Amino acid sequence: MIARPFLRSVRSSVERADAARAAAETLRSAGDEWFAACLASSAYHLVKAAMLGDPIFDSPDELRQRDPRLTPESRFITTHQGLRGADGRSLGLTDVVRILYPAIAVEYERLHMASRDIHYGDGLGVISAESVIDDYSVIRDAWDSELLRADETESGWS
Amino acid sequence: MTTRPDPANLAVTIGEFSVDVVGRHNLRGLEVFVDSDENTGSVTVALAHNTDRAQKSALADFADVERAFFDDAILSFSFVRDIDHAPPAVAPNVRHFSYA
Repeated sequence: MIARPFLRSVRSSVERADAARAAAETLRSAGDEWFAACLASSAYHLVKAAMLGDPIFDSPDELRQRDPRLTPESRFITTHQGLRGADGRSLGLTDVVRILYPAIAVEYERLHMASRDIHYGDGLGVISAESVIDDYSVIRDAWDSELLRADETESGWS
Repeated sequence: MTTRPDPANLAVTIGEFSVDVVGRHNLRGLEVFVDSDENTGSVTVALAHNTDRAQKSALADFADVERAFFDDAILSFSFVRDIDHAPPAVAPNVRHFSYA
């Protein structure tokens, strides 16, 4: 279980997302591929904003219908991947995205891959800068259009 | 999966499943490492054609892999141009699978 929320509100998450996007634009203008890590960070905060504000997390029954592992506390997940504990494996952020927001799941996953490759690998490699921008646009457009809500999408895998 | 895979063969099981799901014709190579102590794994994929569509299709396929092995290993996925066929240096508790 998460001991402390990194960000406490939809508003603070969106502000952080916007700051990361602004940093990405600066880096992109300079030809620096680290812009992709900033866009992935921005996408992370948009997804967190969506989860913090999504009314489905106020409805345990509805959550169970989507996936029996989802609980109201899932709204506060901050790690990308689930963790193993005494009760088995928990859901991670990428799992929640697949279940509740499948329309952005592939784009979110590839942005995360791009960020990981930049942080820990050899850089963007076979993930193109253009695809990073396109993937982020899908997520940003979904947020701006108020489509990052579970009731706006069909359920993903369960 | 109704029957849990043997942990000692988890890298092979995940690797063969991944190859089947993505399709041999779509792959240049695929490599899996599984840490049997931490129950974590990485799947590295060299696609035959690194197009935007092929990557997205493979990522959608890997959601099935992750779902199938959800209780067995925490998996991560990466795309590369080619799989390095030199013998990997890994800790004794890390199992390896390679397809080329």
